[in-house]
Amino acid sequence: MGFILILSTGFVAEAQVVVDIFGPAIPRFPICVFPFKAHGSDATQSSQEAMRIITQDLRISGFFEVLDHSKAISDPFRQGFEPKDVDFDAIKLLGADIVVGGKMEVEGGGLRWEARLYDLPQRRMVFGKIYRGSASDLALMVHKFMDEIIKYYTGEPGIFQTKIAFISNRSGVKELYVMDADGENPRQLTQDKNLVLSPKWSPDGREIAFISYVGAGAHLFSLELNGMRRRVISARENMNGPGAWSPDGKRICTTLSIQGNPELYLLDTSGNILQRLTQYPGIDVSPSWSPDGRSVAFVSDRAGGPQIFILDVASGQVRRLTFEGRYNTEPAWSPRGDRIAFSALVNGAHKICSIRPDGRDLVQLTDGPGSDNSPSWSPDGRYLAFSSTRAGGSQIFIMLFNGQNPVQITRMPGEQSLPSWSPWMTEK
Amino acid sequence: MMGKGGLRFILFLGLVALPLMGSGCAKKVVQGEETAVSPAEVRPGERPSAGLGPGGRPFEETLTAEERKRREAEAAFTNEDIHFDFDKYDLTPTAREILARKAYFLKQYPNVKILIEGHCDERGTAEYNLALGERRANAAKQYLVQLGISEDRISTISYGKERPLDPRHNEEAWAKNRRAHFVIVSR
Repeated sequence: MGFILILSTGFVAEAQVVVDIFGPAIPRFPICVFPFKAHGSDATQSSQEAMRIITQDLRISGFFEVLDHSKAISDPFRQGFEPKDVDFDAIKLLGADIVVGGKMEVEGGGLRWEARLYDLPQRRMVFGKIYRGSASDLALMVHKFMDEIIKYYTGEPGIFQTKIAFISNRSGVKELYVMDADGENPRQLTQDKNLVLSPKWSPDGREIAFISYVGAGAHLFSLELNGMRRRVISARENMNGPGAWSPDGKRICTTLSIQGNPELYLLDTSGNILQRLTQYPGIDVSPSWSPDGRSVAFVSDRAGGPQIFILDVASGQVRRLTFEGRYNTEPAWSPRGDRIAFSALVNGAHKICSIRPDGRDLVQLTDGPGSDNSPSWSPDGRYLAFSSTRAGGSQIFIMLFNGQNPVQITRMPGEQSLPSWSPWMTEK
Repeated sequence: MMGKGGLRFILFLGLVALPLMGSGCAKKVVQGEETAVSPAEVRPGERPSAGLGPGGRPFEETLTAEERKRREAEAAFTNEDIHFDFDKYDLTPTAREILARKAYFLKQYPNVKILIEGHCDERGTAEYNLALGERRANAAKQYLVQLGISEDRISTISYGKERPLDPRHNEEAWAKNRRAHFVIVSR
């Protein structure tokens, strides 16, 4: 994608109220997006595509109520996009506080997209940007614009330039896929034609560790995304994985069964064993690191059925985290450190819950039909990706950290499962 | 999807079932009662139609009595899974009986090496089930070792809930799917 030009015209650096999205009530800004002006079929097609993605992403973000532009009295941009030319009166009754408009042009075989954000009550342009890139970069352009909008209104950039790895069996067998955080650009990464499970991003975003049955066993691999080179992390006897990267990226906590039962081990990134972490003749699996790298949440049956425990890595001490219910698995420690999401068996189906690391304040985040599984936090801790069968076959959804605004982001044939949200892929 | 074990199973069955049917015995018991195989154990839908070798000649013509007996024993070995209670990996009394028969077979054929696959039903979560299947396969392995089978003849793999034998979503299917399956990897 080409460079971004910032349209400084009309930008007024004013003191601005940034909302606390972790407060008790998450605000929803009423916003209205007008179709981006375009001439010719290619530009029009790209304009419609940009409109589709931006509308979808505003809904996914959870911070906006998207209003229908067709209720405007007339086109507010018929005179142009400079604040002095915009007919704010034409849209003042829409109920929107924010308006997006602009134009899409084909330029030298690529696209030039001019996108502007206006504050309606203040009758001013908040910011405008020009994005240049090939037609295949269109989703990326929209994601950059989205992240700017969210940064403006919430003080922190959005997550639309991050990615989600997941497992899909759409080819007939379970393989590793990756997509943008809003479900755009799904791409198959493995062709193992066997079972692939449990993708986990490295904290630098360059690698994805996963389990594959491609050889003679279930082994832990890592795929370098730049160049798609694959390496073996652990191909020991019996079980290898799932593996979780430590926050500093230097170690991998994983389950090995070399002593005859699944225990947690600490490996270096080449797969050499640094330390055995658990000593229990049952199940120890599904590690998730605290962001400070001192603790690991994991699942064990040492209390009978599966429950979540927390291991202090330095001392080896283990304490039980979950007591409610008889089947609590799939812990995911928030990058903010303050919550651990997990799936709990509630009335015969799995639901996403979250709890404080001290065991207090257990909250059930999902409800309704189907089973909800495998929570994975966005790098800002504002969202959770998870899989759900609420709409039939298993698909990936994302929702806000408190369970509000669940949105389905995959619509692929077959079963989509085991999402793993990437870290930040760009500078914040 | 059918694994290597399944293909091998059908091949053995093809070799075994024809002589059984050809002899007209409803229930032929081979030497060594514990390796008995009866047609009743042939699962519906898996009864082989390909009992004939190239040119339509039955395979049995090329097999010695010793080899035939061995193949029956191998089929019995791979045909019989052991089953587990929900979310459990301890061995039931029935599972122990079956494992005793498997140990007998492994003692009769000391060169045989096996793979034990641990499986779970569809309930529960993927990663926990991987560990549970591993623990199930390992429980079976440990019991065989207790019965005198050398550890290095037995490897294990867990498929978690990923390879159900019965795809239905009910108690009967779940009970079938909570299993350890036995595969001969070398003779």
